[in-house]
Amino acid sequence: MEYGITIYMDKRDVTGWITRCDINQIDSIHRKFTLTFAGWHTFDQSNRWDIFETYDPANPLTECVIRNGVIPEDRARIVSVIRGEVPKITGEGYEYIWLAKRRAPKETIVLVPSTRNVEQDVGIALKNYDGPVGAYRVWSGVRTMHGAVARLMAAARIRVQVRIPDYPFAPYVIDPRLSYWEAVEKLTNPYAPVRYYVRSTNTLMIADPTATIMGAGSILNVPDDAVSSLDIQPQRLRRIRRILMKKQQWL
Amino acid sequence: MALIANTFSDSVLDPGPDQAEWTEGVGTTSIRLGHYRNPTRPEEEILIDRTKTVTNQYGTVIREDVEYWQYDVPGAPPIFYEHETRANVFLPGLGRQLRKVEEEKQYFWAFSPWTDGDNLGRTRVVNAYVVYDLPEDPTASASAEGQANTQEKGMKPGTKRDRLVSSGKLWSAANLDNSIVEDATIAQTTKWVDGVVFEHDLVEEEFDKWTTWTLKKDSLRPGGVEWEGPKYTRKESYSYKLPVPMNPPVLSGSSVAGGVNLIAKGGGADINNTYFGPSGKFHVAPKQYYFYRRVVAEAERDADPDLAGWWETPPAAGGTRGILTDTDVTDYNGDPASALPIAATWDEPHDPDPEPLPIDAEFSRIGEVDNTNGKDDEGIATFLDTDVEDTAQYEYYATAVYETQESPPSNHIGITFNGSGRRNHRLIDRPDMLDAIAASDPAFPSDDFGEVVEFDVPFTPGDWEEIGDDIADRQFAMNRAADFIIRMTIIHPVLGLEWGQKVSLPNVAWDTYGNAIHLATQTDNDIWILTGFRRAVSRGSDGKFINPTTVLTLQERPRPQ
Repeated sequence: MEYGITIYMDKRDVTGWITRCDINQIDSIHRKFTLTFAGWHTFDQSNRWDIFETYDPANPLTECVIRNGVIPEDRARIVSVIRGEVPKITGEGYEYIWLAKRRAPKETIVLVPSTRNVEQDVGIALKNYDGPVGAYRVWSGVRTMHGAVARLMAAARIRVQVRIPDYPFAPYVIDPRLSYWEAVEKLTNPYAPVRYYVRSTNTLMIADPTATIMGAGSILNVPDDAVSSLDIQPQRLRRIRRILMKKQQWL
Repeated sequence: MALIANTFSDSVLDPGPDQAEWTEGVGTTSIRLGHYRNPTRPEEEILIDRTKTVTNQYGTVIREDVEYWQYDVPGAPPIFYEHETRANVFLPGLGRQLRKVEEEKQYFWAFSPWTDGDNLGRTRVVNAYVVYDLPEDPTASASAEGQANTQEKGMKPGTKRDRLVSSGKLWSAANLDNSIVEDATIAQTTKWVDGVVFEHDLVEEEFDKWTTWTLKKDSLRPGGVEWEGPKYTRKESYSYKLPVPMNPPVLSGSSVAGGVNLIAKGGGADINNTYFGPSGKFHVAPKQYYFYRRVVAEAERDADPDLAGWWETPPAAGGTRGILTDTDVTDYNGDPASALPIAATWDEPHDPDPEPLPIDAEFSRIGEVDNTNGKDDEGIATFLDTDVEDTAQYEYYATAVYETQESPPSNHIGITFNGSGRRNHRLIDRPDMLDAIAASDPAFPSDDFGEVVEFDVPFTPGDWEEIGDDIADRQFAMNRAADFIIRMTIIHPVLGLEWGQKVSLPNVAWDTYGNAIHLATQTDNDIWILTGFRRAVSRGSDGKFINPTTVLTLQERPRPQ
């Protein structure tokens, strides 16, 4: 396509077959892509999609837009063929990090800070926890909240950089109903962090909301005549009056 | 030779509201003060006489008070006081006219000429008109038949009308309780009584006090002499120097809203002598505590701490959004408020601070507070040091003081004032949880508006308050400030977009309404953060592009997602 968009499926360039490409950054973490094909014969669940874009035709793989994108299996009406027209296939997929958000551990994870009094710590953790447990796996040596976040994201094969204040970690049970991502969310939410994903290094950034916003890349200046419409919405996410922070008991 | 007034001042107090016609409402009050001014010490003025005149709206004098103080020597207490009252009142038997109705005389004497007014012996005599009721006229009340009966019994009907002593009232009291009926035929009369009130103060001097007995005699009623007293006045002209050293107090302090609260306890002198009983100990509590402070580290108090221009203003700190009107919070007239409370400058607490300048490390006395716990108990005094700066460090000590004797310094305490000014919440440490309550928001209708959130934070025991402060700071900073989301359609496909990219709209004019807020700006130089986009690129069968667009979602400050 023009505008330097190159689309790879399983490392093969399929750009010529695609007539339309929508990229939608849904939130800070994951992107959704929609591709319209001018006919295709096989379309596999295991396909990995990579989309690059550039302004430099000599260097088509400069910018990675989608990394290891997948088209989820529960997506209905991927292929729609209408008689008498060129067959169109519309694939709607997500980036790899979206999968990580859905991946849940198979067992209940118990995080304990020590490596010696593990049994005692596990007891404390389970006493503080109110929920289903089932089979559980103990991760020992998790002494700080940062360490817990790093261990959880590593299990989802994503790097993480935590830039919020750390605190010494008490024995803690991860609710098995949560995915890795949701567990990290629960641990870091008290600090109201800004989370975003750097796809070039496969790293999840958890940034301090009170730190100066760094921004990425150079400033994009939008001139007046390039804007066809603009609307502004004032928002106040929540009106929090009071915060209760539960302490771990039985310590 | 008494002092005479040589300086006069007149004050005329203008009438208040207009009086109704034909009434005796007060028209003008004029006060004339006569002072003695010592020619060699003109700053000393002694009041010698005072005349207060009240006239009604027609210029008739209603009442006049003339007072006079007699002095022998400038600076000494008075030796004589006279107060003469003239009033235009109706007095039974005398009618209504301006006349002298009361005079009061006081004679003072003192043991020494320099004693103050409380210790003066005194005789006070009041001469005044007294209003009496008369019995019924015996000739008028008895019928002709009754008089005849009296004469038959060999008696003469009485004609003398003596005063009823029990009805006697001072003219002023009779006026006040409406005992006087302004009618010549009413059975009342008035008599000038010399010495109607007589008081005498007897003062005895003892080595540590003055004892005053007051003798009273009232001529209105028959009766004896009343004694009042004794009344003691402690002498204060002696100070006793303790021959034993003072012990220092114990100082404790904490950082509270509005300053550093210091509490000094204990201290004083312990006298060991069997004269004071079997234990042989007598404790003298300090009369005062002195508080001293030294500044250990403090940010510069200058308005512009960055004179050399070394430190960049953080991007979020500048209030660059040009708010023209805001109808969300109005004043009482319904006009738009002048400033948008939610657009206050957002502080960046973790920006690098300028290197603190070296500060003069001398201790200086910042407070002298009286012992508030009596004389014999353990003393205590509290002092709130409000002259403190956020995040500055101070060092304090206190001393115990009795008269001129000061104890050695107490324990030193160091306190970092953690800034009630900038803090956006109050943290309470409960047994099972930390409880952070936000400062009241001026944009909210009431204080209990807003939601309560609960976090399960698996911290171990330790600096709970520090963690709670960190969490509450961020939650309230992120969730209580308003923010804007811009959605903007650009007619080109824009490549290379990334979350967190800075976007500037140098010349886009906007004007928006939302949630009853009307916000408008002309030229907005803010840097916006790209928090989402949607781009569609498609080509038709001829290979040309069809309506390529990019929708950008921008925020002032990214929200947690």
